[in-house]
Amino acid sequence: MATLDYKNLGFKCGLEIHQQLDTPKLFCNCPSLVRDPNDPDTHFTRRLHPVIGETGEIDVAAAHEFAKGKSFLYEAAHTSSCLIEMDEEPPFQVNKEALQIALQIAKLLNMQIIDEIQVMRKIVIDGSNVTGFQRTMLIGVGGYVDTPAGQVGIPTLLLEEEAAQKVDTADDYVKYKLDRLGVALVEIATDASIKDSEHAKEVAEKIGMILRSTGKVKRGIGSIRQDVNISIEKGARTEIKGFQDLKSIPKVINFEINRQIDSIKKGEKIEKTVRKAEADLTTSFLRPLPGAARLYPETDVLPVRITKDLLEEIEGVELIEDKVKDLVKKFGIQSDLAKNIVKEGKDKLLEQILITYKNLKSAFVVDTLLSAPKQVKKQYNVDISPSEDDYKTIFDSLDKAKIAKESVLEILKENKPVKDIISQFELMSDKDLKKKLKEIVALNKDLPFNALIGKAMEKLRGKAEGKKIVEILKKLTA
Amino acid sequence: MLTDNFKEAKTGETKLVTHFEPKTALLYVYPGMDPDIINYYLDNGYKGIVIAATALGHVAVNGDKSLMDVLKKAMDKKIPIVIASQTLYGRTHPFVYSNLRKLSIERNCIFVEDMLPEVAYIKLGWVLGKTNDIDEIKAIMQTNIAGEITDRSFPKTFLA
Repeated sequence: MATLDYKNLGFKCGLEIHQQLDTPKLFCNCPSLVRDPNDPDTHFTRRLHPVIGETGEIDVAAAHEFAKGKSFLYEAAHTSSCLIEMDEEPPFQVNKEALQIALQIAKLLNMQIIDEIQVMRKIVIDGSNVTGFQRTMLIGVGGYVDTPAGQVGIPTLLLEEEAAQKVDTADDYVKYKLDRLGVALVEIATDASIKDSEHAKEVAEKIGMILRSTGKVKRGIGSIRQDVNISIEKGARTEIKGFQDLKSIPKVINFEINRQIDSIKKGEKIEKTVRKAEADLTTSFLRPLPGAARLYPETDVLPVRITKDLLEEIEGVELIEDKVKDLVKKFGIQSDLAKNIVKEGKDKLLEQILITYKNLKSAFVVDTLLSAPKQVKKQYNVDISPSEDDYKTIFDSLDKAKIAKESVLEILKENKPVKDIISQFELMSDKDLKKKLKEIVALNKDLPFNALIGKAMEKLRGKAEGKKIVEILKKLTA
Repeated sequence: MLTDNFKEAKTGETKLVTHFEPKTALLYVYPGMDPDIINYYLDNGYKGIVIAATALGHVAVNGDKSLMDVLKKAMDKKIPIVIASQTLYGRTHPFVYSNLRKLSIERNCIFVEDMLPEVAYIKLGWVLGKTNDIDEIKAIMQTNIAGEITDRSFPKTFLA
């Protein structure tokens, strides 16, 4: 593929990022079990009819769905859905925790926050919302992110409901599961100032990092989704959805530009469409792009006034990239390892340990925090998840030379509160060690020296360092 | 198990809290109800009224049978008006329609979600035995203490 001259092509590109929040659902008290493992206990069928939006017209995308004439089958489990997902009970007010996280994100994106938030209904009649609309609200405007290739504007941040998950489709029906419906979701849109396909990936990464920095977003497959809007001169705006990972963004964009260049050369008319990113990095048609005719106000939910008090309650957030830089600078930790420490949420713990226990090497502490559970699993086939106190107790004893480094995994593999068992692993005093070794020598007079060492090591594992045992034995048998 | 909405028995000493306000009323609304019925309670020293309203918590708020005037009188006298629903399996909602907002926002009526009217009556009598502070009454009435308010409704709740 030839290198693309983005500037001359009139390349325009913006991102839309959807991220699920780790809170109860947005308009009811159901837990956000995105993939509820429980069997469905409620089944029902609905049909949807489009209505006109605020502009007095029926939306083109809504009409497209209605023309298919399908019924919608729903299944729900009471563990993750209630009457509100079924549209049998009016919604509660906006979940406060979700709103606070959205405000936090708006601040991190340098946005102006709307002072009275009005919930809107966005007409969606593919059945993925039982009501026929998705509730959405504008939280902030006029923000930006800085990237190495320049600043990219963030015109809007929305807080909205997640749609239901499609589980089956046939000629006359589509079937959905309701566990995901109503989960709180933020939608962040960038402006079209992204410079090229590689830059699109960088912007997506940066926004993802900012979202994860709040510590309150969902993780795992499907919890964050990136849609890419691109166009070139003489082409048409295309929205590409369904990227499996960020690395594929540049290639998919380049494929789509080349597809449009080919169409322009052949003199074909290019329609505005929504397309899906396929596994082979090409794209396929999904539906026409919806227009402005699909919004109208939600009257069931009160508007939310964003007061000074509410804004003051919003906690400040330190960005993941700043935490990483901080660890590297303060303790000389390798940046990759620092990243993993932050990712596992152990940065505060690491900092406390390194500041309190000066005798410990930072590399050893980092390695223990990152890999001890994996090593215990590998060597002893035991699953452990030590608490912060467990780690602190161990490092305290190591710092005071009360236990041997070799004992760390042995202590952890017991899978008990470390406080209760650590005394069993404490090193013996030199005096006690000599006494014990004398006994061993006396009982094993006939053993060759190497076998004697083996015997002593076995008896005193974790109680004394190997080097010391050998030294004393040498003196005793000389 | 029929329900998990109950409080587990606790060991230890039990203390009986017997305060109860006898001047508590429970009123069932119906179309054409005379607003003067509420005046009776307000003029005879009643300290609080539970209204078993229709569906989401409706009472007449327009026309010559409107309760808006007598509810204003109650609000000014700081007499709590608690709204529960006649439709026992459902839940009241203070905001979904403008007529409900008239009650919840303009008249400070206390909507108690899916609490049964009879339960609301006993609870209100108990709360009034303890306090006459309208904000405190509202806060306690809207807080689930013993399973009288559930935070989610299910299709299987009906006739379960």
